[in-house]
Amino acid sequence: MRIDETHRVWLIASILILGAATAVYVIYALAAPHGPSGGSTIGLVFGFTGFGFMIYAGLLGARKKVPVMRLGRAQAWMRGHLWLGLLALPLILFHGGFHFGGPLTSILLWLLIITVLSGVFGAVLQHYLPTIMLERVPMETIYDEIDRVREQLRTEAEGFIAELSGGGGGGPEAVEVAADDRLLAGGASAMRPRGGGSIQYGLAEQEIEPVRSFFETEMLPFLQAPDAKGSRLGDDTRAVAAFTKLRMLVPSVAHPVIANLENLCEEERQLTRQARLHKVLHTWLLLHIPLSLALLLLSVFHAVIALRY
Amino acid sequence: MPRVRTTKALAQRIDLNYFKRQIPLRRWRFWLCLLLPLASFLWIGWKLAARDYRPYSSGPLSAGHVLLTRDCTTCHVAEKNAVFTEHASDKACKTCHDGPIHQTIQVREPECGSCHIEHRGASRLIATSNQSCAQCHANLETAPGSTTRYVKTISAFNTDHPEMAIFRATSPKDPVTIKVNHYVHMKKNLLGPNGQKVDLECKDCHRQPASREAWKYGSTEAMPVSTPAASAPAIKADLYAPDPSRALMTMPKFTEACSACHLLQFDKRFAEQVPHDKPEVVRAFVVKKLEAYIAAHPAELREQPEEDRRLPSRPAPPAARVVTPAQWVAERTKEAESLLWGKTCRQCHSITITEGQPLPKVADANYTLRWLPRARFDHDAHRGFACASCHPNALKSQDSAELLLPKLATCKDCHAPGPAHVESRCFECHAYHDWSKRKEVTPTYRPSVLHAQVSSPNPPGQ
Repeated sequence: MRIDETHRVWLIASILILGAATAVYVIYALAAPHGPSGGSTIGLVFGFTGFGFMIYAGLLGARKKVPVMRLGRAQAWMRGHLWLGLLALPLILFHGGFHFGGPLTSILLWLLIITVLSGVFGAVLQHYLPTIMLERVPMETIYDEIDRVREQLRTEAEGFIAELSGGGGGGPEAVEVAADDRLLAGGASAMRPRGGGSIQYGLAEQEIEPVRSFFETEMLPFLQAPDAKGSRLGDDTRAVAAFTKLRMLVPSVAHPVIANLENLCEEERQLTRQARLHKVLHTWLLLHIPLSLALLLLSVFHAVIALRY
Repeated sequence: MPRVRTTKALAQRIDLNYFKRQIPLRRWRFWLCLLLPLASFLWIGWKLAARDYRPYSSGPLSAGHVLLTRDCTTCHVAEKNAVFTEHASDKACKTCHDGPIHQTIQVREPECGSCHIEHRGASRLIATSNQSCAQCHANLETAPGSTTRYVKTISAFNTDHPEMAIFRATSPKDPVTIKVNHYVHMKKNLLGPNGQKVDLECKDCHRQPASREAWKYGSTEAMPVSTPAASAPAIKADLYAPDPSRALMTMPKFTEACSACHLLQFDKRFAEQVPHDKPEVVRAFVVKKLEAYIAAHPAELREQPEEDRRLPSRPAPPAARVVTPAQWVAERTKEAESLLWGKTCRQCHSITITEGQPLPKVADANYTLRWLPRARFDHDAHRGFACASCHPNALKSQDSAELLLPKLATCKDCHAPGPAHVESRCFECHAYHDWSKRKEVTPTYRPSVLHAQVSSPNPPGQ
């Protein structure tokens, strides 16, 4: 989610809450006989408020599990998660008087710090990466489907080669729809030649040999393992140079096919980039969510124990 | 034909059930979300099952209570009317510490835990905050009918702490009756033993009881001023500090600090000096010495006055006379006592000679050992500082009655809040509990059990 002007109200409210809390804390800390304590009345107010904010932030996950229920707008939940979750850290620090206390409270505070910092890191990523992705991955697809799309790209490329060879089964239309792909909306590549139909280029075998050779030695390995290092097709500049050179080796009638192959490679590179950005964009959640769950569980226990003793 | 991306075509290549598949990221997230809270839960459960409450402690215990770390119930006891809470109670504290009451006129007795904050690590529990004392002393109330001479508004040493009570008197004076001119004694090149020139130091007269350094001027024998202190007999170093017998200065004794210079000779016939004792003892000593002397020198019973040749026109001296030994002793005793009571002793002591009384009355020294009965002061803790840095008037005072105690402003030079100063909270000088009223407690714990509780994951009996 981008942190834009729609967050202004939340930002102002958060600053006001933090300012008020800080003022109360300073007065309380100066007046408290033995310094601030989590067990004092004000310390407990800080503790419960901070815990309430943590609970609210944690409920975002529950809210996502029931998206159809009318429990407020998802955007509002997300903004609340972001700002109230952030406010939880200073409030809990005020609660403990900036002391880490015993083993359990130390663990809790570290969990909170890591959770909040990872959340801030995630918010920064969520703010910048979508824009970057929009610019650098215009051929973006659903992340979960990247592997499947890559398979389709390979099939499509093979179709183009077959088409160039004048084979009857060439072209994207020749791609067989697998039995288990019946649930697919399509099942073939999204790239369809304008007008459709088989095209005969009338090229001799030796004239298309450079293309076939290029496809088999460079392009197919690249499409099969796009993350592998060393392939010049994985690099934008070197790929352009490779295809320019290939065009010089074949008659101009075959250039549209080469353009299609080049476009396929470009999409492949973008999918690789998308996968990498997606991992960056979501890996922090592996830290953020499990730690926040442990934090909430241990916080409940801490509250019970602290009130008892 | 060039490739063309249409929305429909893009949509068609997507598996509509793609969200049902688990991708690695989502799978990892699921398992971590399951396992991490589960691990937390198991950790808590394991500690609960083992009755090991240390993880739930709000902080490490103070050094004195560290053996109770595992056994929370030693202090956290359910009160009678408590439903859920088990806060540390005063009763539990008093099992071992019978903290006596502060003042009989106080209107309320705070809970132990309101001043002594536990679970703050190896800090001293005695290190209470100023606010703890200010709970009452910032606006002091006393029991109805009680008359109090205490200042009613004190919140901190560096703000509104009053001057010491002794200085608040109309004319503060040292009640001591011993006449000591500090100015004279601190002069350079003072005439010392055997006519040597000496420079006295404060410690030549004023020391703590535990001091074992040899006294420079405490001998009737002629003693070179340069006698090094190292020549004193070797003593075993103190094993434990601080030593309470080093906190306050003791009263200077004549035999330790004065006798080498202030000789108590009573008659030119004797090199011996009278003992520094009560007048009756002194008189007995003098009489005994004179009797022994006259017995050994009977010729002196015939007194021949010396011829005065300075003034030939003066009348002739009386003729020689013969006295009895008793008469001779009585006359010499009177002369000796005249010297002692009239000059030697009177130089330092207040002596009252009443007609008709056989012996003079020597006033009690009335020396004040402890000037601050409501506060602690430890000279040993300040041993690195020159005496005159706190007692500057001691170098120029000529009157024994002058109070040489430093005022609070001197203390405040060092004792103030902030990292560049030393402790200035109330407890540094004042004790809350009147330990003279303490009661003995009934021993309850066995160290072996507590040790076992600390070192063993499953303490005995649990």
